Formats: sequence, C-alpha cells, structure tokens
Amino acid sequence: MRLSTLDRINPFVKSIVILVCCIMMAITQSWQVNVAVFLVWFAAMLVFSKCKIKSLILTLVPVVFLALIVFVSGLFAGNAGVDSDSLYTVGNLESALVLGTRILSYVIFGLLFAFTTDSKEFIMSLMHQAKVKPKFAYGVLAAVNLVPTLQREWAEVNLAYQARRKSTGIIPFGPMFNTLVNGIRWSENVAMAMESKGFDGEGERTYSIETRVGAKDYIYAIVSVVIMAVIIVVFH
Amino acid sequence: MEPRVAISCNHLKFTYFEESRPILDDVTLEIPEGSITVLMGSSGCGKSTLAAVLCGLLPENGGFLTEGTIELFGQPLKEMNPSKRAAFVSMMFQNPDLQFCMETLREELYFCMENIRIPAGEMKEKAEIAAKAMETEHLLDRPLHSLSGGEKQRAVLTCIYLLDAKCIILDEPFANLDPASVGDMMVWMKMLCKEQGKTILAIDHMSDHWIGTADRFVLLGRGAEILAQAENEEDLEKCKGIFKQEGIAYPGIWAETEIAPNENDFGDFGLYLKQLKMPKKPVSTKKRLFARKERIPANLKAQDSLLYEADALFPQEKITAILGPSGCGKTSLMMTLLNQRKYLGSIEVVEKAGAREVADIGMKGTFAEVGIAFQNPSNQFITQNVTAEVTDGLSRRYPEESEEQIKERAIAMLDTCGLKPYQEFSPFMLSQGQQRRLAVLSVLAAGQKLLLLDEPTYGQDYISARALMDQVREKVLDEKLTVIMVTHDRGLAETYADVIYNVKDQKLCLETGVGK
Repeated sequence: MRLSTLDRINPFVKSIVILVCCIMMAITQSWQVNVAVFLVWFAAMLVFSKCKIKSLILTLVPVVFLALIVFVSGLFAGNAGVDSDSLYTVGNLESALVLGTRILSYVIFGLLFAFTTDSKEFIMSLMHQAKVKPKFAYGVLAAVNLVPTLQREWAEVNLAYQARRKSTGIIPFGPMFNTLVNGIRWSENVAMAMESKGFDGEGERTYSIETRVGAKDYIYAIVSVVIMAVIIVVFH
Repeated sequence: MEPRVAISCNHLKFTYFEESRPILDDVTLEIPEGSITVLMGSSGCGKSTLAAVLCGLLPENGGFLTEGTIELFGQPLKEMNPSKRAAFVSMMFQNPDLQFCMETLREELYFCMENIRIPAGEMKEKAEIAAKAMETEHLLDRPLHSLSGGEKQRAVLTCIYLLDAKCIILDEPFANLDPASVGDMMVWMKMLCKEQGKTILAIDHMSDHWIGTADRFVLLGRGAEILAQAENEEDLEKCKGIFKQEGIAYPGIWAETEIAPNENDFGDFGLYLKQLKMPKKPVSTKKRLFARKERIPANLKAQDSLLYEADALFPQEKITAILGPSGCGKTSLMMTLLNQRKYLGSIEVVEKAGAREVADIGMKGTFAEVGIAFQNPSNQFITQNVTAEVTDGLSRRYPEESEEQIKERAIAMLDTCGLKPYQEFSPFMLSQGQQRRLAVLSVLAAGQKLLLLDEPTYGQDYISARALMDQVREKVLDEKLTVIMVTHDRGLAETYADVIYNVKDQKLCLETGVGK
C-alpha cells in the first residue's frame, strides 16, 4: 500500500506545525481567515492524503452542526455593549461568524492529523524526536492495545448489573468502578509481562522502526507556516 | 555428568507489607538445568509469589525481600537488569489476555528483540524463524486480541523462544485452556526441555496433565514451605496423604470423591433445545435506538454457526455440565439461554405451568428467573462489601425478613466456602479463587430457579472447588434449582453433574444422564 504525502510526514513535526498554525490563527480575529484556512486545508487533504471526500464530509457534519449552534448563540447571546472597547464591539454578526468558523478551522487541523497519522508511528516519533522515555511510550501503546479487552469487559460488567437486577443509573458509576479496579490490575499484569520480556523502560534498546526528520518534513513545516502567514496577511 | 543448577534460592523471606506475616518463609530450592519441575500448593500458599520473586519481578514491582539470595546459573539475580535477565529467565502468566503490549504477534516479537538489543536489520528473519519453530506463522499478523486463549499462550511461548531464555517459569498457564490445548502445550514443553535444553518451572494446582511430562513435583505448604517432593507416579501415590491434607488435587481425586446422590426424579420438565442454530456472529436481542433491527438469516449455513441443529434437554432440578473445546460455543449458549443472543430453532422452558419459548419471555423476565456467574468474577460485583454481595440477593428473595436475619443467612453462606473471615472486605481485595466463590454464592443467594455457571471452579484448588460445588449441589437438592455449568474439568463434571453434554460437530452430544 502506497502512503500519501501527508501520511509520510513525521507525526511529531506534523503535530508541532499544527500547534504553530493554531497559535497564529488564534491571534487573528477574522472569519475570512478562518474560512480560508478551512478551505485550503480541506483541499490539501483531498489532494495530498488518501482520505475520501465522502468520509471527510461525513465526519464534518456534526462539526458544522456545532459551528452553527455556536454561531447562532453568538449572534443572539453575544450581547456586546455599545460603549465598551471589547473585541466584540464590531457587532454580533461579526463575532458570531468568527466563533463559528473558528471551530471549523480548528477541527480541520485535528482531522488532518487524525486521518493521516498512524498511532504507533506517532508514539515512536514522540520517543525519537521529542525524547519521551520508552517506558512512557510503550506504556501508552500497551494501553491502546488493551482497548478491545476493555470494551469486552465493559459490556460484561453492564450485563452483570442487569442480570442482578441492579440499575446502573444515568451515569454508570458502579460499572465504572469495576472497570477501573480491573484496569489497575491489568496494567500491573501487563507491566510485569513486559518486564519479563526484557523491557527495561530506561536502558538502551534498538528500534524496529526509527522515525526521522528529513527534508520533506522541513519543507512541509515551512510551506504550512508560509501559507498560514499569507492567508493572515491577505484577509486580515 | 551432574547437571548444573539453573535456579537456586536460599532462605528466601518475602512480604508484601513491611509488618505483615511473610508470604514466603525461609524457602530454599534448587532446580537442575534441563528439567521440568512442577510446584503445587493450595490457593494462597505463595506459589505465584515465589515464581515472581524467582523471575526478579518482585520485589521490583512491590513487596520486600527481607532475607535470602537467588542465583541463576550461579549469577546473583539482584545484579541483573531486565534486559540481561531476559536471557536467563522469562515468565508466562495465567491470563493470556494480559501478556502483550503490541497489536500483533509480529510487533510483539519485534518489541522483544528491541528489548534485548537485536539490530533492526535482523528482526524480520529472526521473528519468522521463531514463528516457524513454534508453528505460529499463521498468527503473526492477526490482531492478538482476536486469538483464542490457547493461541495466545502459544504466542507467548513464541516470544519466550525468541528471547532464548534458559529458564521458563509458568504461572498456572493452563487454567483456562481446554484439554486439547493443554495436551498441545505439553508437547511444546517437552520439546523445549528435551531438544532446546530449557529448564522449566511450572506452577499449577492440577497434577493430571503434567504426568508423563514433568520430571519432578514439589508440594508446597503455607509460606511456600516444601512439604514433599515426588519424581514419579509411585512417589506421587505415596504423597496422597499430604495432598489431601493440603486440599490439592492429585490425579484421580475426583473419581474418589463421594457426594450425596440426587434423588430428584428425571421428570419431563426442563429446558428443551430443538434444532437450535446459533450463529457465530452474535445477533443481539437488545433494541437499540435508530439502529436497524438485526436478524439471523433464515438460511443460516453450518459454517457460520456455532451450534447447528442441536437438540438437548437440560432437566429440571439437576446439574447439567457442558464440556467441549474452547470456542465451540459454550459461553455463547449461556448468553443465548440468558436471552442476550438471537437464535433459530427453539428453546422451550417446560414446567408444570406449561411451556414457554425463551425468546418470548423478554429480557426482564429472564433476569428474574435466570442467574449467571461469569467467567471473570470481578466483573459482577455490584457492591463494595463481601456480605452485601450476598445480602443483595437475599433481601430481594426474603422481603419479609429483618436485616439481621438476612445478614445471618449471608454469613452462614459465606462460612460454607471459607469466606467468613473476609465478610467486611471489599470483594475486589479477595484472591481470584475467593472472588469466584463469592460470585457463585451471590447468584445462589438471589434464588433464581435456573443458574448458569461459567467455569465455576476455574483457578480453585481441590478443597475450595469441593466446598463450592457441595454448596451448589445442596441447593439443587433442597431448593430444587436447575443448574447448567460450563467447564473444562471433566473430573469435576463427572462427580457433580447428573447430565453431561459434550459439544462435538456443532451438536450437543449426550454422555451421561437422561435415558442413559
């Protein structure tokens, strides 16, 4: 399977670039910037990643809905004082638009990361580029891989409550407690199993996958930031 | 030539809490290289702790080793880091679900090699060689969570083979494997020991399956004190007295166990399974909001089913045991009887009052009449107190009684299974075996007429298993309960069950009971 351009960017670099872009966006107060960012990154995802337009739009449906809610509530509730010097004196429509579209642009960054990053590779790059300790990185991986077991147990706990004719309430605190206790026991178990396979946590080790930062990552970072800057200059 | 000593420990003393009674009290043990040794002992005698201490996992992960030394091939264990230790000793744990940190066996093997610093370039080849040797090539790229218990344990063995540890310590590795998988594992154990020269130290409370494989049995008492050692069947025969005294099962112990006969008649009443078809992919009976109603295709094929056109009768007021290999649909059948999965064919409850179809009873009605004890007992506790677990069911059953009376009943029940000293504990603080007993007791307390028990004696020593089953048996006789239990333990089934079914070729084959 061939990986797309965005898939091949180092995940750690990708996350840092997203952080920088978000900060740049946060210092502007323009809905035009937000919309432009959304459109540019949406287009970039269609061109440079393998994600399909259908799944992208489907994921965005609840987000658009949320943006609309924020927009409407900003429009009616964002009661800007006429005399105040606050940011929202430009009027309700303007500030509501900024808030609503900002959600869209933030989410598109998140989607870009989620759709084009393999979770294992991300953790590996945290270890290699961000110098996170293997103990922590492999611990997270182990936890992620426990999720299917956790789901199975959760279903069983809930069934047990039903079978014993005990209501779990709207927020199922009882089953949560059971699962939490089990979770602690499992994590101990898994940690011991890892150690018995020679896992040291801090000592030296070799790596089957070594993520690197190369020319393409630098290009990606520079291009992203430049596009962001251009958008801000043009629309702000 | 005298074989070298692989593992030796001298006067070990270990406690979990500084002030408490030592779990290991002055343990001295020598394991010769290239042998298979089985450590046996009752629940809570410290055998699992001993295994973890010998591996160096304790006290590193908790507890205090106050006295004594451990040497692996003459080298002190204390001075090794985990990576070096892996070359000497590796451990296989009881719960196959909790031994992996990666998604697939291939990744897990890579993880092992990273730990012992094998260069990345050699990993692919080495992983494939190990998988070939342990015949796990077909498992390499499947998600580990989708494997069966037996396959998972094979995957762990592949990791151990790859790490090339000189000693392998096994902590009750076969507790939830079916007999066929256990037999399979025995072949691998022999191979690893005889051909690869590995030293194997296993902890188990069953000796049956080790006969013919193990070179030596060591019987442990309280504080992991060595009570007896046996090298062959004759020696084992001589130790029977100590086995009995410690409440540990020896080969054939169930055949010698005598229990009260069931005088209840085989009536026409019970659960009738007629032409039952159970799909492999569960179809839930739950109604979900917005979701399409799921149906089993009417022309369900045999290869998509767990049970196919199965007929059986689970008679009223009797204990029925269901045996069969893992994954043959025993637990799924329980879920079907509990009205959680849809089925084709018919399951009819025939009672004095008339006949009803299980699917028509409804979820709430089912829970009022059917009680279940799950395989994992810690999933079914609904309170933070051992006594409350039992009183919860009792107070629903005897609404007219006062709180004191209920509590008295509860404590009497706890007492029969040795749980009375723990009445104020949280159920989560009990050991696995104790939890299982409590789970069964809490189901017995609720007073439903049909009880489903999924592996009720898994992980129990002989004495606890007996106490529990005696209690179940008594309730069947006195309160006219109907019990259906799923188990891998044939000896237990033959002793306590009035009817035994074996799942074979997607059918329930009657072995003993009705009409035989």
